[in-house]
Amino acid sequence: MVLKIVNSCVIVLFSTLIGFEAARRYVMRTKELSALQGALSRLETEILHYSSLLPEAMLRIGDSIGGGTGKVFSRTGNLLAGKKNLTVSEAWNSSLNCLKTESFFQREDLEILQRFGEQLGSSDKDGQVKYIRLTLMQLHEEEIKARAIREKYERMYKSLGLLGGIALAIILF
Amino acid sequence: MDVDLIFKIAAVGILIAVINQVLSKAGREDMAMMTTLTGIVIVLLMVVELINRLFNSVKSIFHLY
Amino acid sequence: MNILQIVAIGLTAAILALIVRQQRPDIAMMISLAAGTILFLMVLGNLKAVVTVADQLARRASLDSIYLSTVLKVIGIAYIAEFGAQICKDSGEGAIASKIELSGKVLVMMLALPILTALLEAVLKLLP
Repeated sequence: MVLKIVNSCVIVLFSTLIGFEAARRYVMRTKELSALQGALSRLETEILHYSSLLPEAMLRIGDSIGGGTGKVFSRTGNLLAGKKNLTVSEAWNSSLNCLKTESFFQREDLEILQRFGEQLGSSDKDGQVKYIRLTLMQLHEEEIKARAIREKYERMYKSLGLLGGIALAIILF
Repeated sequence: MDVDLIFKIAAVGILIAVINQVLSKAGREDMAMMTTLTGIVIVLLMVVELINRLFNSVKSIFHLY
Repeated sequence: MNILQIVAIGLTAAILALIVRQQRPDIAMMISLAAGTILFLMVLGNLKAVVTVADQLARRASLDSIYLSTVLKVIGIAYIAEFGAQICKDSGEGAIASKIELSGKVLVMMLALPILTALLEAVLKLLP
């Protein structure tokens, strides 16, 4: 009797966790988009006000911002500092590849980042800043869309996880 | 089996109604319909076994073979 | 299984069916179906005892067992037909319910036919 109750609780718990895990995707995407915008703002500041060199700026930003976003910046900075005769775009693009598996970004976000990387380091200070601002605008639009999607699906997956667990526990009781 | 079955069916029925609502509100009408059908089939399976017992008992008692 | 338990189960099932009927009328029908089946299965034991006693009495009265068997079959058919027809009526399928009742009547007629024939033959034999 007690064993049955414990079993049912375990089933409900695990199912709820699965639901939460499914919902996490949407939450993390909005969070990472937000962090990414912060990182790009810092890059803009570094270029505009401190006129830093790109590798050091990348490393600094990568250290202060964690997660997948920070890793991209750190890797790019390291690749550039390693003096391997890479252009900035190549370094950026190779760092982007690790984002594909490790982060929750979708295809549209990665495309925006790729386009950003293509012109990175190829124009003067003002050109860079303009392009950063353009990318920031695009990312902001994506973030708004991502928030709308998140609102719809996060609650749904959480409820589904809980309700499915309860249904399973009742049927197997 | 016996009396608990009634409560099980009622609980599954209410849960189906709730899941249906959650899924329709999130926009996934097709998935809502599928889960509803699945739930009804499950309840049906539970009830069919019971009815089988009933009919077998009636057959044996009233010599209806 | 006393009457109080049976009534309690019946009332509980009725309330549950009423609650569920607002959301899913089909599940409510299954609740009432299951409740009816369970209640009947509960009193089945007692019913079996009654039938056994009737059987013994018939044997002691040296009645041909086919008569008692026929009567029991008729009762069985009538009960099952009423069960099915009532469930259909509760679900709103009056047409199906009446067809079930009709089939029950036809089957009972068929069962009773040999006995009617035997009765008529006996009466005819009595006439000069």
